[in-house]
Amino acid sequence: MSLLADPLAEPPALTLPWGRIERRLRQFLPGRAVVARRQELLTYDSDGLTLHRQEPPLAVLPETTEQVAAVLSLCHEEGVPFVARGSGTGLSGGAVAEQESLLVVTSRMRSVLALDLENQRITVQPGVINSWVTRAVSGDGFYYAPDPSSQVVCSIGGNVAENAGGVHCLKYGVTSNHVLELEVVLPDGRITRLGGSLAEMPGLDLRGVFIGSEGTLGIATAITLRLLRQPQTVQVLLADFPSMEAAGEAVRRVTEAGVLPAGMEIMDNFTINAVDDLFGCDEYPRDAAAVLLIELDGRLEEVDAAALRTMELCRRAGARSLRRAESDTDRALLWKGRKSAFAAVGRITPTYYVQDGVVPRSALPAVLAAIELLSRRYSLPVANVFHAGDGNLHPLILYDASQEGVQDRVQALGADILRLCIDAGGSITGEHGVGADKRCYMDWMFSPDDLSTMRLVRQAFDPEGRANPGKLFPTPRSCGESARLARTVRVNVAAGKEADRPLPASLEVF
Amino acid sequence: MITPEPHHLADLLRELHAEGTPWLPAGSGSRLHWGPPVRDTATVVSTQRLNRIVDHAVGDFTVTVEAGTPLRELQEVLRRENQWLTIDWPWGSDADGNGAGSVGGLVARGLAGGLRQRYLGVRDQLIGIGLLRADGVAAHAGGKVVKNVAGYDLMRLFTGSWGSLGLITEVTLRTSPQPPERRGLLLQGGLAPLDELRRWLLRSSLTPELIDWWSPSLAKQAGADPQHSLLLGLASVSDAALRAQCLEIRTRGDQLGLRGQPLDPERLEALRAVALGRPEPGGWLLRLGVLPAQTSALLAERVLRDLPVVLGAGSGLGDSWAGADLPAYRVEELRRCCVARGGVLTVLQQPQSASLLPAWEDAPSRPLIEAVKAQFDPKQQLARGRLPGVRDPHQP
Repeated sequence: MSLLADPLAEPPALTLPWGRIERRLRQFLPGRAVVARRQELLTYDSDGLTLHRQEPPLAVLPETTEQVAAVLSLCHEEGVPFVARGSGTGLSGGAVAEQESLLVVTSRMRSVLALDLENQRITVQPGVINSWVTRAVSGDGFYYAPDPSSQVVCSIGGNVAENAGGVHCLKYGVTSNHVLELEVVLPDGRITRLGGSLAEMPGLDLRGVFIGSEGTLGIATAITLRLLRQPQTVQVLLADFPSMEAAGEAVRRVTEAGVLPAGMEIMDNFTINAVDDLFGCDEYPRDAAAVLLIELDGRLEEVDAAALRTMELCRRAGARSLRRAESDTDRALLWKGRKSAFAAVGRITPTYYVQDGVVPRSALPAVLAAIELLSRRYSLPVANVFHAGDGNLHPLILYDASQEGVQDRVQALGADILRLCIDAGGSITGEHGVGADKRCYMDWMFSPDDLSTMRLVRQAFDPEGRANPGKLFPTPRSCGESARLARTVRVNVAAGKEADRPLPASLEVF
Repeated sequence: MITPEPHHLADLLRELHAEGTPWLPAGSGSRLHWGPPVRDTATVVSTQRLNRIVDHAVGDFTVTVEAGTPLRELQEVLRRENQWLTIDWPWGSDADGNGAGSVGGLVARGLAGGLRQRYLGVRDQLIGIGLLRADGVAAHAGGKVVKNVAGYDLMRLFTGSWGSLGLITEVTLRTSPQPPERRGLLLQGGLAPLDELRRWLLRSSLTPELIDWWSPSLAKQAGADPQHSLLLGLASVSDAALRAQCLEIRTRGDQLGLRGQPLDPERLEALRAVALGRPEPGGWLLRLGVLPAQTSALLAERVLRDLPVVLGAGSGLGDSWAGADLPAYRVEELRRCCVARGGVLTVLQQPQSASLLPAWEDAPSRPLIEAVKAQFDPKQQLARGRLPGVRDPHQP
């Protein structure tokens, strides 16, 4: 049977012979590796984005490459779609089995397979947690650079699927810059290797196209990562600004001066106040329009020089006050607010929706102003915490899920924000992926020919379309409403009329 | 080689596709003879007239260029804004980038030089791509922002694809600010102490732009003592920092009995230009790769004793070249050495002779590479006989 035609059709009842599939799986998997009880399957009904929920009919937790290959061979024989899942911390609904699919969870594949410090590389199974990699090698002075904020729980396999970034990807790049080789089980159960021992190998770079393919090309079962030397020293600067434009100008000046910070993060006034409320003290000036955190790393003498230069540039851009932290404790204090930002904002309303748009760095101030207008128009507060150095915005839309119809409004506002990002020359996702959440906006960024060209890759890897079906690409059924959302929402930033509208009530908490 | 006007390109490719005519995608055509020989092909389609710099977003540190733009011209335009593309001139260029070919060609070959040590490779600079498929359909992927995970990464798929999948028409690249200060250091001596220094350097907190091994023959060509050498390039925002770093490295070198020669930026550039070689018609050009820890062992191999070799000490990637008198069996021996040391050897250029060596061997993912090729080029029109990762592409 073909499940390709309409990946989002939700059948009224299960149509695949799950009883037989379960029996066959149990023939070669240990008992603990097959999860069929409904209560247990509920664990897997969503990822970090709880707007999308669907429990899978069956889940397996293989432990070896051979088991993964056997599972996918069986899927191939039975015509069963499958969804790979790491730690389930993704933020785009990518690891949810929306339609009848076998969930393949890699959380029991947690071994370090090889460590080769001489050549600065490590090979791990996909379920290994991101921060474990650094932990495994830090004693020898190495670390693994990509550091998504979920790094203490997210898996390397998931990082590969999403091409995960993090605070430090400004200087060190995203996952794809750090993966040398992948062992992959293809949707028909074949095992292959992509990439190789060196960063440049003769051969089409299928490693590169696999990374960020969101589980639609197969399952990575062994991943060889590049390791970096730990920097000699790290310093953090914190500057606060009377306007978002001034903060943006500081980012521009620092970048232009040839200083390449490890990370540059901005929090807006809304977030500053939320963080101060959480801490119960004024860690950041409450009247600041923005605070900018800059982390510099490298050689002591270089970092010192860069820090002095950066502080001077921030002052010239209009910074009101500057703090500089060199010790571990002081650095942690400056970072504490940024790291608690989501939790702080989460105290204001029980639920929030994180967006992940990207804009050219120079467009940041204008886009942020436009987001504020949209926030007023929708009467939904939006907090902005973002990777300023690379223009990656994470607007948090705050809402109370018990309000009737609020989810539609939240999604419409999220869509409008993404439209702003595209209009500014940016992207609908910088690091969270398209998944289920943003597939209907893909055709805002890409033409039908662009998408059909990407699908050629899918055809080569997965001609039957059984790997994470329905994700990433827009489908007529799932995106029937995309036409409604796709209306133009250009906001005139200069127009004062909208800006006069009162802020939504929930903002009064400050 | 035909150099169609940009607006004629798609029509031309559609015609070629309708007729199933084999053709070879090209930029300026400077290095079309590199790699496996192209078969059955009389038509070369060049992007030479696609030569505009579409948009240099100075404040955003990105640049969008048409694929036929000469690399040299792009670097000049960027330099005026105190920026650059962190990529070496390809082998065979001169010190000023003459003969460097087009940006599209650079991407299609996907070969980076010693600057990979700090800035990674060609594929890591590419954030967007425009292309024409074999059937003449125009498509793009990625975008103009430095961080973007929307859709499949066709930028990486096309980097190093050697024209086998389509014609690259436009690329968007990240640019970087010019480092305010640069210095170099040439360290010479025995292989063993040099390797000790290499290990120490890679384990230190120093972050050179360049750590290149040089063979004695290359050192001699540069007017230095014919000894094994390490050429270091350092860059920083602070000259004081650079001085301190050079001193630290030289002190370590002294302890190991190595001779260190400080290089000002001009001298460093001049030395680097020597390692770009001199194109010799009918000669050999070999792309070497071994695990970084195996680089000194590779340099000690008999077959490399008298050849110019430049080899990234941290990446394990580099080039060697020779005249037509080097017997093919020596190159086969060298390929075995590279493979035994965890790497590969690619024959970029070889003398015309009866016993043609395969440019590259089969990659483990060969069936998948062929499947991708079949999707992008169903009529097998493009760069026939040249499919990276496939030793001998079969003819349908």
